[in-house]
This record gives sequence, C-alpha cells and structure tokens, in this order.
Amino acid sequence: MIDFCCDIGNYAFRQWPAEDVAGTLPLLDRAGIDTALVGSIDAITYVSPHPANERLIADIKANDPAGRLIPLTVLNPVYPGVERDMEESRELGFRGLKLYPNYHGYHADDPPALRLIETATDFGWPVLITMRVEDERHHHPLMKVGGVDLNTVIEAAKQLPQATIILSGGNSAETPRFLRAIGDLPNACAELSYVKGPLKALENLVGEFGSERMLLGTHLPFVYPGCGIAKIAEAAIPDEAKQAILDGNAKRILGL
Amino acid sequence: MLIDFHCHVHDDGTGAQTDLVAEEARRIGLDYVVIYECVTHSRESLEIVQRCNEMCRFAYEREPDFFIPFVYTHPNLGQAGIDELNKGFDWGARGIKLEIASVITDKCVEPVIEFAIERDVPLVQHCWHKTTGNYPWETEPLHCAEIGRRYPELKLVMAHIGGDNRWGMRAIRDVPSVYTDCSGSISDYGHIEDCVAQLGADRLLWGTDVRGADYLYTLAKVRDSHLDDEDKAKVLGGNAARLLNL
Repeated sequence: MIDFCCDIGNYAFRQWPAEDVAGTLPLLDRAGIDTALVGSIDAITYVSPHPANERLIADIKANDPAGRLIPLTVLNPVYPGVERDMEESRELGFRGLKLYPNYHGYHADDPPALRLIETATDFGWPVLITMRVEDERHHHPLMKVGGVDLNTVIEAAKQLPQATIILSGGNSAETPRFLRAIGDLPNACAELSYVKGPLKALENLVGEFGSERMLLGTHLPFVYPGCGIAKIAEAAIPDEAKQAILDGNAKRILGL
Repeated sequence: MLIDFHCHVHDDGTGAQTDLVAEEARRIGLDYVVIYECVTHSRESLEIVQRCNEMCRFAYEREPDFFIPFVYTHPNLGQAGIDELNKGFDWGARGIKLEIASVITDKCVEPVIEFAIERDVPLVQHCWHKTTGNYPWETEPLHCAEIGRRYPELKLVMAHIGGDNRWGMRAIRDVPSVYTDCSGSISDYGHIEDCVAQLGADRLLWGTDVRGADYLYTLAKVRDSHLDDEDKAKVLGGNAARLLNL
C-alpha cells in the first residue's frame, strides 16, 4: 500500500503518537503500509516553512535507509525566496510539493501558487493541495483556520492541466465535486483521507468516477490509519478497484 | 458481540434505506443496530418529532430482530413531548434520543430525565463542544457532566465523546454514571485509548452515525486502537448489551 497523506513532525496544538521518522515507520508497519509520501507537520505553522523541510529530510536520510518515505517539500508560494527553497528542495532529494493555502495565507489559484505548481510540474513532481488539517470545529480557540475554497483548487487544476494536482483532505462533498470538475484532465487526482462517509461512500465514488483518480490517504499521525485503509480494502468494490486505489494509481503517478 | 449504538436510517418510506443499512451492517458482522431519527433545527415542531418517530418505527418493523429503536422527543414541547415518549415505548422503543431542541440542563428536560429513570432506559444526548461556537440549544459535555452529577441513577450517554474528545472525556471523567459513544467522523489517533484510560472500558460505547458516516471507517478506529481484546469487546458491544439488558 502507498499512503498519499502522511505527515511527520510536531503539531502545535496536539500530541501525536509519533513525531519523527523513527516513530512513524512502526506505525506504517502496523498498518501494512509499504510507502508513504510525507511532509513536515512543523512547516504547516512555521511562518517560514523551509527550515522544517530541511529538518525532515535530514531525519529521513538518517533513519529511513530502505527509502520507504517519499519526502514532499512544504512551501509557501508567497514567501520571499520560495524559488530558491524550491530548487534547494530538489537538490535535497524532495520528490513532491505539498501546499497549505489556508495556513499560509493565499489561494491555490493565485499567480504565485500557479508558478510554484508549474515549477513542480517541470520537476516531474506531484502537488498535493491540502484542504484542511483537522476538523474546523476543534481548532485552537485563538487559531481557527477555515477549509480551503475548493473552487480555487479546481481553477488551479484547470489552468495547469499537465500538473499532477492531488486534492488532499477533501471531504465527502468536496471530493466528488472535484472529481466531477476535473473531468478529463489527464493527471488530477484525489486522496481519500477525509472521506469518512456517508454509508458506502467508496462504492458510490467508484460507481460514479471509476477507480483511476483516487488514492489511499490515511492522514497519519492525526488519524488511526486503519480507518482510511478499511473503507477501501473492505468496501464492496471489485478487487481491481481496491488495488488501484491502494497502490496501483500511486505507482503510476510516481513512476514506480 | 458487535452493536452500533448510534445509527440514523433516514428511510424515505420506501424501505430502501432500511435495507441498505441492514445489508451493510450484516455484511460487516453486526449483531444489533440501535436506531433513532432526529432533526437538528426544529425545536418548535411536534409534527417533526412525530415524523421522525414514524420513520424510526417503520425501519424497526422492517428489521425487528436486528434494529433496536429509541424514541425521539423535544422536551420543550412539554406534555406533548412526554406523550411521544409513551407512544414510542408502546410500539417497542428501548431508549430515548435527544438532539438540539433543548440543552439537557434546561428545566423542561427534567420530566424526560425522570421518565428515563423510571423506565430504567438509556438516554442518548447529542453533545458537541466547538471552538467555532455551538448551535442555540446544543448540549455540550459540561452540561452532561452536570446532569450526571444531579441524576446518578440516569443511564445517560453523551454522544460523540462530546465532539472534541479531548474536552469531552475530561468533562465527564469524574462522573462515573455518564457513558459516552464514539460515533461520528472524528478518528483522532489515540483518542479511543485515552477515553478508556480516563473513563474506564465500561463507559465507552461504539457507535457510527451511519448513514452520515461509514461502517468500515468508524469500526476501524476501535479495531485499530491499542486496546486489549477484552476492552475492545466491551466497547464494541458488551457495554451496549449491558445497558440494553440484552
């Protein structure tokens, strides 16, 4: 299995069971996950995110000798010097870009964000655009961050049809709306970590959209990984669809 | 034993939704499903209460050996609300569900609480703590704690571990008569273990919030937790069976 929604680091608002690579790998083992695309949790709330990327990649190089973690750089497109951060990220070994428009204060379809996504596309990277980090009702009382406007993600995908834009953290209403909107764009996809219902949600999604545009996402360490896996692995959908969502589509996107 | 303590069938009168829920619940391996119908913003309407209970009764009568119905009411309707409870127990209800028509500490809820105590049946109260602000008349965990202290003989179930489970479990941890269910979409890593550590394994009930939630997703948060098998069995059905005298 390949997990498209996993993060590593300290979260400002809650303690998680693992906050580094050494702690995360056993969680992946327990869940049966072979490979995970990981970004830095610290970078979500850092004003200047890149130092957190540097710490994550150092941890991965020191503690993931098998190469199970595919590092994603978390950058703010409107922060000074982001172009150099992007270049450095490639040199450091990052293999994708993860964006948090609502935490860093921009829209996914703003020109600076589009330029960064274009650069990522030139690098051959996937770009994850995160809709939310946790349930909006339970945020810290002094830091309430609303979800990202899905229309801006759709617009970014339409403006950059060659980009591999992956909706991350889209809920049960947003995910089908995104999949419907991207239509025949060749590369856009959604990871499913935040699709928690309704009853038989996976059956309905596969019935309407097929299985080619969906990816496993657990949202480790925020969420029990079994939740994201069970709803796919035990759904009443064909085995080929399960395999595609659990790892086949990811291999295609990542060229594995 | 596997018992979902928090399910809304929302049948439209055709039986299709009842059959969908029953079929999926059986496929997952459930033994019983506790069902109730309720509407969030409708506190003035007796008609809404009656429609919800008719919907619940319809689903129950289609699956009488599998579904365990609870009756819904609006305490602010006074005697008319109590009459709905009596009607519900006449056709087979085994517990009471309250949603957002009144805060559970409101004076008007006292007759409903006394009804539940007299019948020795569980009362499930929707409950959420939101930093974004609760709805008017929406109960939050501190309210449940207050009622648990005032009525220790009441079988009160605070739904959803109070939404923000960190807040919810602390609010009721020193009130041993209050149970809670872990229904809904919240699946924070470790919260099931924390809840058992703080409340004990006898006070947590597995629930789903189907059809809004998914059986597989909500089951996995208990199945995937680090609880031992004995505690998982209590949470997944043992505690519910005890509360319902099954």
